[in-house]
Amino acid sequence: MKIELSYDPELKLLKVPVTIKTPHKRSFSTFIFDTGSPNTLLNYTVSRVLEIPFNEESGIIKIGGSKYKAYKFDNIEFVFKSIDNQGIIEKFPVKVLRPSSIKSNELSETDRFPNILGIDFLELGWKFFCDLKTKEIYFEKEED
Amino acid sequence: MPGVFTNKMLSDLDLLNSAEESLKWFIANSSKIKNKYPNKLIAIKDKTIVASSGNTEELLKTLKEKGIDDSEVLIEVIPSKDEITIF
Repeated sequence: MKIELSYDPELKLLKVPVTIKTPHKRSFSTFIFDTGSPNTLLNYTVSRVLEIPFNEESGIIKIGGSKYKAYKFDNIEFVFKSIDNQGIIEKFPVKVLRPSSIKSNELSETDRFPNILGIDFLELGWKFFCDLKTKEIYFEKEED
Repeated sequence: MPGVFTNKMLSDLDLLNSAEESLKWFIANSSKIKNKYPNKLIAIKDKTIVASSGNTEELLKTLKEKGIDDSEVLIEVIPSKDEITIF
């Protein structure tokens, strides 16, 4: 099974649309695939939309020289779309970034981070193929 | 309301198709959007930018005021014009 990624030539980013499900709510968003990130990160905006509680602290995440408090959230499902229009469900924990303060001027830092699909996604057995010239960009996994 | 589907009525795949459609529209118009909404969060629904703001709380508040369900929009982060984003 294959999941297609889209290349944004203006921002030079690889993106994949995902439906995200928690026990409270369901929504959709896009994730940037980043092989430089060990973990999948859910940004603050989407975590607010999904009403994810900030209960389980999970250390500090350092991004671009700044440090942010991270929280772990296990009870989450990701639904990807295969190229033959089937839903593919993956369940794995994410880290959620939270601003250290609720002052509006301090919120903007964490607000600007996108959702990131990290290397932990490839650890689920997905292979990654990318040819920007032919726009063939996809994840592939053999069916169980 | 007949003919209107809310998030709860749609399947996961329907939602994904909606997200994919919004993403494709966003990428096709990325250059224009980047110039018009630098350093903002934008919310896209039905190929239209329905709200924009410099931070999450304001964006969610605007959506609520407009009666738009925040789980039915695609929220994208737009960097500043000359900013190269490295995570």
